[in-house]
Formats: sequence, C-alpha cells, structure tokens
Amino acid sequence: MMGEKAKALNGFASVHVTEPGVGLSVDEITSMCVGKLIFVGPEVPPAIRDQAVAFKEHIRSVVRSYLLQAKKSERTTSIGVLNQAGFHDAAELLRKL
Amino acid sequence: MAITQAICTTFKKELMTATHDFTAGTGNAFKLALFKATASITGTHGAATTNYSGMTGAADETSGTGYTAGGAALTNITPIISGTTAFNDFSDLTFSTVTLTSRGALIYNTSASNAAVIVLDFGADKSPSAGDMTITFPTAAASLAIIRLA
Repeated sequence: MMGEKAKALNGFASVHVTEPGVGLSVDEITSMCVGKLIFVGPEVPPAIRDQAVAFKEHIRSVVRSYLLQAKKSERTTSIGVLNQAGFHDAAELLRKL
Repeated sequence: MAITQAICTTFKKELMTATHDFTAGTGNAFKLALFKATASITGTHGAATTNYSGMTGAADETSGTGYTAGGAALTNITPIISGTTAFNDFSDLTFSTVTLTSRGALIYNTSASNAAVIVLDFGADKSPSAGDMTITFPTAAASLAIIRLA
C-alpha cells in the first residue's frame, strides 16, 4: 500500500529586548528588514551564495541609509512640534540626542 | 503549569474547514498575545489550546505598561510553496516602550472567534523595562517558517 505523510510543523521565533529606556537601533531594525527580504540557504552553490551574500550586504547598506534618514526626518518633525507647542527645552533636548 | 510550543491541534482541523486565511491584506486578522512570566502561569498551553479564551480563562495573559490586553495585530504575509512544503510568515512584531515579563505568546485568529493557531515558547522569561520587545519570526523558508505544511 502506498501512502502519503503530511505534517504540520512550526518554526521558532526569536525575541529581542532592548535595554531599559532604549528603543531598537537603526542597525537592529536594518538587520530585521534585510532578514525578511533576503535569505541565503546553506546548500546554495558557492558561486551563487557569494553573489547573494554580496547583494544582501548591498541591500543592508541601502536600507540602513534610508532608515537613518527617516529617523532624522522624524526627529525634525518632533522638534518642530515641540517648539510650536512652546516646549523649547524639550525640543532642544531632543535635538541633542 | 506551563507553555509548550506547538501548533494547536484544532487549528489543523480548522484548516480543513477553511477557517483560517493568511492572505496578506484580504485574509483574516491575527493577533499575538503575550503570556505571563513562567512562574506565574497557572494553565497548560500548547497543542491542546483551542482559543484565546484559554489564555484569559487561566488569567495567564501578561500585563504591564504599554501592553494592551489581547496583544497586537500581526501583519500577514501571503503563504507560498517551496518544493512540497507550504508555509506562511508574519512581519516581525515590536511591542514599543513596554514594561512586562513574558515567557511566550499565543497567535490567534480574531476573524474566527479568536481560534488559536500556535503557542510560542520564548525559551525563557523576557522582561523589557520601558524598552522595545521584538518578536522576530523565522525565515520564510520550507525548513524554517513559523507554520509549515510538509
């Protein structure tokens, strides 16, 4: 008799906790993003793997640069909001971060 | 009592009754709720878990600053096939500026009366203190993805 085996399998999520009072860094978010975009399997032929790894690192630098820009822009906006609301000390504190 | 990482058994049956749809954008709405610290968990959660109500009934959901009961919404990534394995993925999930302790999580389907999908065990208590806690789902690959049908 022939039969077919089927299984439901689960993977394992990892959990990262930042230091108290600190959010995720740009590099941490970049790694999460790049990990979602590109996966290089362990059994890929070496020549292809090398190209994929190089492309992954290129993507990493691109994503990182845009995340840095987003962070700066968000801070600019937040500083503007604080200044407009009259919280100049808070705005200055944020500007110096 | 304890958490045991497992795909919920009822979920397997519910797949056969078209209860769950992981399609991005148009599919069901899934959420991830966090369990309490290991020592505080009174219920048994794992393959036999059927619903989010199992977590709340045992009062085993965590609480803390920045955490809302019920957990947070997950972003579906449409399932795909690789070889003979079908699998899904979710976008990584960050609980921002939270103070709590959690040993694991329950993913459940709010579009299907909170039917349980999978119980996750973090391996140890995680305790962010006014920080970010990020749950990173495994690589969406046939041998690694969070939920796979092989």
